[in-house]
Order: sequence, then structure tokens, then C-alpha cells
Amino acid sequence: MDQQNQTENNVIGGEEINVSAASEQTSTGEQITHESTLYPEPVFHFSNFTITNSLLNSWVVVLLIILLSVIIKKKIKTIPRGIQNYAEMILESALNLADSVTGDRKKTMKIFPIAFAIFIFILLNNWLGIFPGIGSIGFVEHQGGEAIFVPFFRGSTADLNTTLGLALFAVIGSNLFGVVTIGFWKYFNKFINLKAFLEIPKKIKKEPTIIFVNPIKAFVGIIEIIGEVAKVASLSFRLFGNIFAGEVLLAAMAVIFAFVLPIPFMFLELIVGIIQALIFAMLTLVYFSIAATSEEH
Amino acid sequence: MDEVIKTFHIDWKLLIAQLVNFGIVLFVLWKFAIKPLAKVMEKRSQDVEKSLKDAKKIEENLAKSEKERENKIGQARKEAQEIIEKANQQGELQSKQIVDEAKNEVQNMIATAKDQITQEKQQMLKEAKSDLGYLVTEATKKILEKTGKKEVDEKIVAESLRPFVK
Repeated sequence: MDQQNQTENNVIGGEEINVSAASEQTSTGEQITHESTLYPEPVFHFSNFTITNSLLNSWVVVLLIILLSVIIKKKIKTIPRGIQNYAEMILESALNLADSVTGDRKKTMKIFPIAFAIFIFILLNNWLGIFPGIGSIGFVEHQGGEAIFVPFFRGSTADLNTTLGLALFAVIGSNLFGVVTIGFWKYFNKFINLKAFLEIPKKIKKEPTIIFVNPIKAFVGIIEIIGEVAKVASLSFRLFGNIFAGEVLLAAMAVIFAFVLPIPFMFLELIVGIIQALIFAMLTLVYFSIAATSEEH
Repeated sequence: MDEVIKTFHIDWKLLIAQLVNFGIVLFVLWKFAIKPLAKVMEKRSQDVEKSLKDAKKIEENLAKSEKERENKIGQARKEAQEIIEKANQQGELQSKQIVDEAKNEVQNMIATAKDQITQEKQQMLKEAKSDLGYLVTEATKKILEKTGKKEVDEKIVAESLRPFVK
């Protein structure tokens, strides 16, 4: 027990950064493996609920956002001062960007809170993943005679659970939004185009080509269903892949030379973090606004 | 699919936990940041628009009242001029009248004084005549008492007095 404690201290205090399959020798001759796993590692269990390091990170982000929001809310005045100026500047430019997608401020105000929340949540998660101490402070777990280093925190967006959850929320949310705004029947016909078939007998005398065109339209609708599934996959894996790759990249650079060398890559990761958050939020915004338009192609 | 779930350790409990986290973020951001900020921004832009409009109105009003004031001042000036002119005219007229009256009075006074003088003169003459006649009569009486008849005497006296008494 004493020995294990000592090794823990070593790892926490040391400069060692865990990289895939890197290992170190402790004073007792025990091998500790550092791995950049594709999945979050459980830190502790709460009854039958596993709390992983990425979930912990996510909680930190939630706390940060709550704190910031409450501060902003308390400081709000008609004549802005300090933090309110920045918040308003960000909000104003974000609203303008959203307007350029939706083309209408009224529509923007409906979708914007969701897209903006996604942006902030992902951005803080991405950036917190590069924060010093995240991924490098942890404990050693013994598993089948092997000692594995487990960090307490892991960038939450480097966990497919988070990105998949967000992607599902965005896609399902956009579909629900479409149903609510343009009505169930119209929205349903975007995918299962019964209307196209019902139109054929009515218009066939005027334009006989409709007998070829409308079945094609119906087929396109079915393809849209596959498109919705693809949206989930592309959203979740794009974000996960980028952030996870960033962590691996930083770890790899640190192994090559731990000082100075990782700094440019950290800046790169900062940029990647904001770009990925922006892409996710903008795509969500686009999905929502497309779902809210009744006209199909 | 199973392979994916295994590789990435997808756990629906964790997924839901992350979704709950996001839900909290969404709610908090919307409730405490986006909604009040958007409201304040909207209100401010409205306020600015309104105050700009008000400022324009005030400026117009100011210009209007300035014009009115100038007009009024001009009018007052004109009126004052008129009053002064009138007063001047009246003053002239009055002074002329006063002078005229004074002249008239003076003339009247002179006339009455002349009349009085002539009257007094006549009366004096009359008195002097009667005195003189009496004196002459008395003197002649006294002389004639000593000399002749009474009737003759009287006749002489009257004849001698004729040039004086008409």
C-alpha cells in the first residue's frame, strides 16, 4: 500500500506525460503504462454508475459556465460596463453570424440559444482538454498484474459519449423543431414522400412527366433518412477525432522534447478547439434552419 | 455497431449524463445570459432610437421657439417705436396748445387791462370835469355874488363851460 502511494505521488509530481504505450520504471521496479486510450477511463464508481474522467471534466465546464452566466446576469445594466461589454460583443457577433445562416432575426432567436450553448459547451471542453494538469494528474490502477496510469481529467470532447450525445441532440432536436414549425404532415413528407404519389393522379394530364419525377422525389426522401443518420455520425466523429488527435499529438510532441516544442502545437490545438466548436454549432444551426423550411429542393 | 460501442466504450448512462450536463448549460446560458442580454440590447437600441428622435424633435422645437421669440421681439420693437412717435407727436401738439393758450390769455389780459385803463381814464376825466365845473361855478358864484344878477351869471358860466361839457 505504501509503495503504491509512493508511485502515485511520483506520477502526480513528475513531469512525465502519458503517451500511448509509454512506460516508466519506478524505484520498486514496477512498470507503469501510460496510454492515450480511445475511451474515457473510470475514476470511481457511484453505486452502479461509473464516473469517468471525461464526465468529471464536463462537470467542471458546467460549473464554469454557471458561474460565468450568474456573474453576467448579476452585472447586467442598461449602460454596459466591464464583463457585460465582452458578453454583448460576443453575443452580437454570434447573432449576426446566425442571422447570415437563417436570414431572419426572429428565426435566429428560436434556434440561436441551442447553437450558442453547443458552441460554448464544446469550446470550453476543448480548451479545458489542453489545460495543464488535465490528463497528467491521476493515479495508478492495478489491472491483472499491470499498473496503468489513469488521469483524473480528460477533455470531455475526447470522449465519444459526449460528442455522440451532442450529435444526437442536434439531429433529433432539429427534426423535432421541423415538426413543430412546419407541421407533422409536411415534415413527414420530406422523408416518406406520400404527397408525391398522391399528386400523380391530379397532375398527370397537365404534365405527364410527373409519373417519372415524383417517384424519384420519393426516393430522394428515403435517402434523406440515411442523411440524418450520417449527420449524427459525421458530427460526433469529426469532433471526437479532432480533439482526440490533438491530445495524442500534444503527447507525442512532449515525448520528443517536453520543453518549448509542444507550445506551437498547443496554439494549434487552441485554434482547432474553437474551429471545431464553431463547426459543430454552425452545422447544428444549419440543420435546424433547414428543418424549419417547408419547401423541399 | 457492437464493435464501435466496444472500442469507444459507449455507455448510455454516460451519454445521458453528458446530455444532462449540456442541458444544464443550455438552460443556464439561455436563462442567465442570452435572454437577459438580448433583452437589454434590444431595449438599449430602442432607447437610442427614441432618444435620437426626441433630440431631433427638441431641436426643431428650439428652432421654432427661437423664431417665435425673434418675431415677438421685432413686433415689440415696432410697437415701442410707434408709441414713442405717438408720444412725441402728442407732446408737440400739447406744447403748442399750451403756448397758444398762454398767448391768448396774455392777449386777453392785455385787452382787459387796456379797457380798464381807458375806463379809469374816462372816469377820472368825468370826475375832474365835474369837480372843475363845480369849482368854476363856485368861484364864479362867489365873484358874481358880489357883482350882478343871478340868471346872467349862470348864463355866462354855462357858456363858458360849453367847450368842456358836451
